[in-house]
Amino acid sequence: MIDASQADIPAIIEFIIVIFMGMTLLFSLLVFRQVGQMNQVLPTKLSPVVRFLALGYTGLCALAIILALVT
Amino acid sequence: MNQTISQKLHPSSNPLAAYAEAPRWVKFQDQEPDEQMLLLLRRHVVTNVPWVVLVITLALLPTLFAILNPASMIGLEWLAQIPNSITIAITNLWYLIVAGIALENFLVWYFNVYLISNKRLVDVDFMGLLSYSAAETELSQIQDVEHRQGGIAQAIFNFGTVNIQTAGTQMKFIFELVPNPSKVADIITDLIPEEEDRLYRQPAHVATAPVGEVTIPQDPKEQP
Repeated sequence: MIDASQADIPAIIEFIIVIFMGMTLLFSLLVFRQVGQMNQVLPTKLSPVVRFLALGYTGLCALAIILALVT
Repeated sequence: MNQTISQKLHPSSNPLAAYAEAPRWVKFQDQEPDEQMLLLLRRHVVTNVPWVVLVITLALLPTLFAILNPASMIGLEWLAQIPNSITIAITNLWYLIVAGIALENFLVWYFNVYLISNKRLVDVDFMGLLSYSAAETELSQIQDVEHRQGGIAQAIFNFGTVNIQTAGTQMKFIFELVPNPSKVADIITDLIPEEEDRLYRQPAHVATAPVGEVTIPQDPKEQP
């Protein structure tokens, strides 16, 4: 006999993980926005690099969510 | 011949420097065309050690967890039954959070800068992801400059705090944990008379005019 509550546990954990990953994606978008704003206030030689870092982090968050949903 | 402060400084080309003299690679949003950046200051690199250690420790935790397997020690054997896909997702989430902590701390350090130009002081405070503030004061508004060093780390690595008392709306500018605080205070103190000299120096045509006579400067375009 299948215990329905036990079978649901991985799905619930996965759901919680995706929610947390969504929060990291939101955080990364905030970082990207703030970096853009600060680069306008204080443009330096490293501004494109910092922007790329923020963009890379956003990309990683999105990729992690896709991976979690696919697997 | 007396050298001005800007002539005495050695231009720095390192964009990650905590103490950069005459940085040509930085501009401020409201920078005037004839304004020259003389110093860029950030908190000393040593002040980043606590968060770097924290990030490295957090990054190593999953590996330590896999090697030591503490779950079996404290009677949580059921953790071993979690499917691989979920373990991978949890590990990914963990590293995302650790990378987020590292990125935010780096950005707070990188964007928290103090700029000294030949006309003013600018204090850019980046207080996390949702807020920042920028305050500035003209050099002529500065009344008192004081620097302070305390503690073993500050003595060894030569960093400290520079307090600048001004007559402006923001009464005090505090440059926290910047490298070479005594040199920074010296440079600011030397800049004040230079700026006063620049402000109160009268143009030649006004200075040479006899009392009661008004001299109208000639338009250079009309000259032959």
